[in-house]
Amino acid sequence: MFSLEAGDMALGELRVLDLADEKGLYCTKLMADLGADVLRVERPRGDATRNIGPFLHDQPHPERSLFFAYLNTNKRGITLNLECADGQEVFRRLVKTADILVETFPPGYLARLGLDYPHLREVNPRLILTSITGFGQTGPYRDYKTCDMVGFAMGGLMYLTGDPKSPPVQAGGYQVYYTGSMFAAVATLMAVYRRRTTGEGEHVDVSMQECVASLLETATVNYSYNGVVQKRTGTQHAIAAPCRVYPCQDGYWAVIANAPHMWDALVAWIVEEGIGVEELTKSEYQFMDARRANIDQINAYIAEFGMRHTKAELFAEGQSRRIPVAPAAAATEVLADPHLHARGYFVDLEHPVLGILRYPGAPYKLSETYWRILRPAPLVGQHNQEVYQELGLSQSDLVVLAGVGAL
Amino acid sequence: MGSLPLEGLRVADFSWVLAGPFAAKMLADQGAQVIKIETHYKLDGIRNYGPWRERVPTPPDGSGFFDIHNRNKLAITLNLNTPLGVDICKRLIKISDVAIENYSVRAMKKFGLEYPVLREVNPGLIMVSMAGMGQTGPHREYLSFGPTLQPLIGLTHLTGFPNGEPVGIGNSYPDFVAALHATFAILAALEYRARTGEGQYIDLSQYETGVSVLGSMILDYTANGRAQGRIGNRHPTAAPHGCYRCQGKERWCVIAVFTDEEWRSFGEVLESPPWTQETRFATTQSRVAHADELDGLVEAWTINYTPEEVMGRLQAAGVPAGVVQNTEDLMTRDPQMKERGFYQAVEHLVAGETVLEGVPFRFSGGTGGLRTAAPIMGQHNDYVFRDILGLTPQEMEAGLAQGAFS
Repeated sequence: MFSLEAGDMALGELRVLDLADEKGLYCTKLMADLGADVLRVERPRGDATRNIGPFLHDQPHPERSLFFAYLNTNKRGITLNLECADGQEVFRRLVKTADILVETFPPGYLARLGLDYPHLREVNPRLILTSITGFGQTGPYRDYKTCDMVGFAMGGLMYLTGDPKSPPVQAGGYQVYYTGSMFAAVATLMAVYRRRTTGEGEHVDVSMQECVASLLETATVNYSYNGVVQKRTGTQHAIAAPCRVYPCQDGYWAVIANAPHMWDALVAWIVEEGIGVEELTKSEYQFMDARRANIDQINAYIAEFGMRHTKAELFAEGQSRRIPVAPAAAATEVLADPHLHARGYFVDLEHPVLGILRYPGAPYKLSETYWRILRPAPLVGQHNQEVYQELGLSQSDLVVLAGVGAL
Repeated sequence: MGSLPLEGLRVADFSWVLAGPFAAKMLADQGAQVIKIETHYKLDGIRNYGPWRERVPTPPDGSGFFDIHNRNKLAITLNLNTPLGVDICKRLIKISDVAIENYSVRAMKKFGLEYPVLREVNPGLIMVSMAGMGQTGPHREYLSFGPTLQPLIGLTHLTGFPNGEPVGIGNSYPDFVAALHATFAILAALEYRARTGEGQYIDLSQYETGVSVLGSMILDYTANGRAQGRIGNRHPTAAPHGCYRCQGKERWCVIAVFTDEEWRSFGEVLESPPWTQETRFATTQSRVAHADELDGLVEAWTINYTPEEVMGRLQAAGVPAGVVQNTEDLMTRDPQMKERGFYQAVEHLVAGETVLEGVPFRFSGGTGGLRTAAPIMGQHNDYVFRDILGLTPQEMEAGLAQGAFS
């Protein structure tokens, strides 16, 4: 590993206390990967998110969760019992040193410990406390339990997801946790920006339900303009036509050709193979409304065409004709994509238990500051010594704290 | 209320369609002055898109898709194919903090407005480019939109029922993912600039931001050689975990039972019918193993109630459950949304009064929100050109003569 000064990293001067569960892990990962000193504060014996799979070789173990490994890169790990007086005292000392605290406890939990925003503000008026919960800190549903699927449903996106002939379906890969985390990360840095002017921290209340409801595209305005309740349409786009996923020889592919030049290019390509020669070239199909009205027939031609080709052929040839085409990729294909490799996207990272694995890498390249993974996800309590010594605790303090179960 | 978090920040917004405008919108919502740069010669396509009030198209103004993602912004028309247009644009860049663009890779260069040029104009500028595939790599010129990116990153393949087609999420999800990452990166770069005075360039690939939210899919493959597939509404360690039909047409609820305690509470809400006591459902392991039978039994119960009743009774007993809400539910009935004031009304010059999403987080120091509707084409030309940029009457005349403002 090479050394980087904190000042070389965009967030290198921020310290973050990460008390989040799965709802907020990506929020703090975003910060850690841009250089923030993120202290992952886990309960003694380790966090419950370590029990979320998949696991290395399907062997469940707190140090083998791939979910945890991905979402905790660059963080230092400490254990602390917030429910005992000694632990709370140490926590207050940590809060004094922190810029940001991200938590996902049920509303009211921190208040019962005397560690809610008004109390923490007394300890450190510059602290930004970001709370991510299912429904926010206020309102009649604030105590409702949530999970990825409940957030997806209550935020209105599940109603729009799925084939019309099947029940609504959840998103793959815990997207609601990611969505809440991304909004929370954005909101937190907005508070950091304001703090440069005011010198003061604040409490940021993030509702997962509202985060999902912010991604409904035309559905909100369809209702607000015309009282139309938008429904799920599978992969068929609500407005653009053609725009959907079609079968092909070895799986599925997608094409969008709603702009006139894209439609013309797609039709030329399909017609070259003798498919839909008379139908697809009708002049009225220059207009999207006409295509929408006959979309089933158009889709049948595109599907027939697709079945003669593989995903890879369609992707390469379609793009060379300047048509937005893509394969419906699985992990296999994403990891093999030469474009991602040419950009150096993936990162090989060594972890003491997981060994060397390939991770998703930088989601953005900043010209003057680094996105780097300098350390893998922490083992349970891996940085207790280091962090608590920095905090000024002596070895004998640590022995006492461990003895009373505070660590 | 105090000032808004981003007051004093100025953003030159060259972006169009969804990913870029959404990023700029998030900044505008919190008080940044976002100036959207458009031209009649090449319209942001979603100005023609709809939905329209009473279904009567009024392009280029009043398109619902446009109005959501461009509210709180100022709009100017500036033809970057004219020398004066480019010159005025540079004057705007000189006094801006951030520039956002999501054109295909060649466009900014074609205008002579690529980062090295803009950096000379303003070294403190933070510029983000959000091309679908990024600025480098063999496929950098490939075309992509949300509906093709979602399949490309692998998310479409992961979403749907195992015996059905891949369906993906029912929106242009990767656009939002890219927008959120872009906004985060901009704010991080602002933090760096506050320390050093230096701006920077951000090359964001919408493809890469999309893969970055599929960490488990990637690691499951690299660690275990497993290419994950679709699991419908199931969960590997929870059952029941699904979407169940309720009373009424297209009325659904979701229920997720993770722990034994939640399972006991679930049984009590149902008044403990015999099947909830059976040993084959006694542990999470056996519930997951018998998820098919369990789903049938759960739905035989939910079908007798509205989804609101199901959710209310289960949540009161501490069981995660929710209504599969549609926009009518969200905008007219949901008491949570109402109490938190999530939806906000604004008057649009062409579309009239519209109700739109607010902001999904609250700052104790004062939160932004929906202040002004999306601008019509060139609505703020006078204000931006005269008052902000200080163009003289002579320059204004020259600009008009050259077609720089169209």
